[in-house]
Amino acid sequence: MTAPETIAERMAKDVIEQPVRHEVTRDLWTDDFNVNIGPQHPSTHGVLRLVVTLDGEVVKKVQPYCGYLHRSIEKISENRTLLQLVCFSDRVDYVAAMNANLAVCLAGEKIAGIEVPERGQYIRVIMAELNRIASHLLWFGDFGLNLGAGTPFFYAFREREQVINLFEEVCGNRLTYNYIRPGGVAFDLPEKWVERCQSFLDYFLTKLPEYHRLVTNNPIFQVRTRGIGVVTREEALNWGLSGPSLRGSGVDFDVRRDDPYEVYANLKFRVPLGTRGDTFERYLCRMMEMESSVDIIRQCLEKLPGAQGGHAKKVSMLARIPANREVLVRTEAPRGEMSVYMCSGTGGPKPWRVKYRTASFANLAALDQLSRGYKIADLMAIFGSLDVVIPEIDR
Amino acid sequence: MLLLRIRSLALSAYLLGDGMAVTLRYMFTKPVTLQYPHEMKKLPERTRGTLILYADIERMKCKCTVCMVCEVVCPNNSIHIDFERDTVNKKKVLTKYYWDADKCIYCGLCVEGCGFDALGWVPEFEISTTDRRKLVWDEKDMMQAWLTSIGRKDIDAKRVDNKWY
Amino acid sequence: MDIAALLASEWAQLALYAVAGFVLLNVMLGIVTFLVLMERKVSGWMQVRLGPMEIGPWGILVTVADAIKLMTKQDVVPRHVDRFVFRLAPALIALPPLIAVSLVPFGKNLIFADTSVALLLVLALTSLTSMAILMAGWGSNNKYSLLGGVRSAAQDLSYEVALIFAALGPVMLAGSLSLQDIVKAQGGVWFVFLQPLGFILFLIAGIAELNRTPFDIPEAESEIVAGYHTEYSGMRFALFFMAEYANMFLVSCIVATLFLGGWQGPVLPGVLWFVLKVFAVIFVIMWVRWTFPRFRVDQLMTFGWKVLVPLGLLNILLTGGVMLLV
Repeated sequence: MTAPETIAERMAKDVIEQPVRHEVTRDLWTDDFNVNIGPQHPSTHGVLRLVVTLDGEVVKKVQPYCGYLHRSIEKISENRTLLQLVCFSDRVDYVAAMNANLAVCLAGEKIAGIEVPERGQYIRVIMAELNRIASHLLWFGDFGLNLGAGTPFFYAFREREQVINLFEEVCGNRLTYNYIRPGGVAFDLPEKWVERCQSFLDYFLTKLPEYHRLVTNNPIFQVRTRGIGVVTREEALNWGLSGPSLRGSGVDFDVRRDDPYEVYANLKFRVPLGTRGDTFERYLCRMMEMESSVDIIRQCLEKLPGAQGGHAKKVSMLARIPANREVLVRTEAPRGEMSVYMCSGTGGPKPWRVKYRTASFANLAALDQLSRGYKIADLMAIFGSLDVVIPEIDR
Repeated sequence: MLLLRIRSLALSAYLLGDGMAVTLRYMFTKPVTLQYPHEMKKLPERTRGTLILYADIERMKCKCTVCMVCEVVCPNNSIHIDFERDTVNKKKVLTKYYWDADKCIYCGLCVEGCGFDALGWVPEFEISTTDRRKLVWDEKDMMQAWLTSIGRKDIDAKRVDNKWY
Repeated sequence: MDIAALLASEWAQLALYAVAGFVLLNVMLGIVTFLVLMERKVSGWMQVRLGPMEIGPWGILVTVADAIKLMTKQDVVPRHVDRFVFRLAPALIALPPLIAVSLVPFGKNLIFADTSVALLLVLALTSLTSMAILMAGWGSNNKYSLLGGVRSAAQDLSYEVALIFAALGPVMLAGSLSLQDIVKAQGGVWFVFLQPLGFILFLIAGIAELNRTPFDIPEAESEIVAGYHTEYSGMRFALFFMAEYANMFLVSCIVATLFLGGWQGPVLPGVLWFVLKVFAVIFVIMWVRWTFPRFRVDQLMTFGWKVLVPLGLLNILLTGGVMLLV
């Protein structure tokens, strides 16, 4: 194996020089051909174009073309107040909208110096973790569908429906919530919501073993995912992977634990860690993250302060951001690390620039490296295990 | 070596059978889907279905005082208000309240921002039409939507509770 | 005119065969229609939903609606296809199961053609399907269809070896290739209890022959290769669809005949037992489809050649050995 070159060097030459992972003895030489996994495709989780260079069945290069879902959210946000910004952050990652809301609200609060009461913080963490469960359920269903298993999708969505119902009772919408606001949350929890949430958690924990029986323990699934798409520790760090994709390779880093925000410092939870860095380890990390999220929510529901603290600090519609400030806030979204950079120019109600660093964008960049040398059918398994959603890439 | 292969084969067969048992068990449970449009889900009261203006039924007037907060706070410019000044006491009088139902992102900032309880949500989501121009509602449409929703007792009877555990 | 002589004459026999054949064909088409509905309903119930419910009471007329839809679609023949091959493929793939069903014994005296080499004929007819798939892949003038067709042909070929080895067990036990004789030899105990390994092997190889999950790489939607029937639309696609379900029915009939005792059964009439057994096997095939993910193509071939074929040989060895000793 040659020494790893910098990305710039690799981009300078347009030739594939790295040895493929599986040595193929060539008696018959056939030309490489390019296959277009077009923007409309049942497996790309959205509109993404992949141009795959194949040598027979073996993948030699994957070139993603993104931008089909670009909605200029960041540019639009330059002309919106802090309160209005949150609606657009919903659309940055509509699968896990609470986490995106939370990231941008943390940035807004940090830049404008707004404090959040404790009850508000606990409610935000509960919502973020519930959304993590919902997002991982959607990923789980999609992953099964990519590999050909039709039924886990429906079971996952049955559970996800319960989470979405809980969200609908709290804020009114099922996908784009606009619930977590600068200063706290928009409304307090309705009556008996805590009981319903707890009964959902009890119900959900009885369903997780069934997912393991149906998918994880399945020999066909294991043969499809073990040893596929291996990322070593160094490669994972170099490529900027984050979240379960990073932890599957053995790098023990979780923003919630190592750089805590909100009330995560008061909570005890387990962060699942993989060792081999293959698709199966990433899959298992996400499944166990669901369990650990249930743990977190239970702790928060116990520790939830009473209503006297208030669920939000009232922030006016035209709250001013002081001049010449910039902040970078990191959170752990279900896909990985989501950071929001916000800076204010001369001050005023609207920020000068809002930048979302989304995990899917970085994880997608690693797809090329991860799938070289594997077969075309493995490409779908690897792509599914990276948990890439297109709105996060294109914003 | 052979023994290992046989053991792994037997284990695989058992695990495959276990997975099949899960699917078979669900075949005999009640389905979790509702047969829309014959059955509909009971929606929670905070559901952001359709934006409405609360109406004073006798005089068919709404409570809007044309403070323009909703138009300003809307992130999408989905609300447009036309008003004129009353010549006597110089107060603003509403002439037309336009709400763009297809542009709106249903974020709820207008309802929260309204200080006079003029705006609200009803859990009515079947407002689609075949003509796009009909999706721009004026204040009469919005008041009518509210009046229709409070009178729809029969629809509420068909809404079922969607809890299966 | 002597009525008895007329009825016994060859023309009458031929006419009788023609009418019976026509009836069988229509019964098969009806069964295929029912199977499509059964698949959608069974898959729905396994996925905690109800399947089609709107058309007809409880959705029973949905296949009729599908058939009408497919028949009224525009017949698109892409440019630069090999016209003869393109048109022949759907017809050729729908024919073998319809023919082979005539060799299967439905009841004690209810068999259309009782030949002494029925099993061989049936296996030969299923090989025709592979050829038709190759024709469909080649004739579509589309490199993805060609890939799909070639993969499918390779898969069918490999699993046929396993299929034949598994089918040899009941043949050895019954001492004849005729399906009716094999059923009659199961009067005492069904062969599934004497040959459990053979039963499993035959079922797995049969599912692979049908190109169904977990062996449905050739027609997998989530891979890039959209399959050998990408370029077909309308009635031609309906023929492919129909051929898959007719093949499924055929394979289940053979499983029921070879291993489950065919029409043998205590109280009920033979035909009813046969129908019950066939639909039980069909249910198992559908159950397997909706539970498992699919194999990758090289894993599929490995499984066929390195696992099923040795096990098939082992099965033959064991059967022969036990027959010698007992």
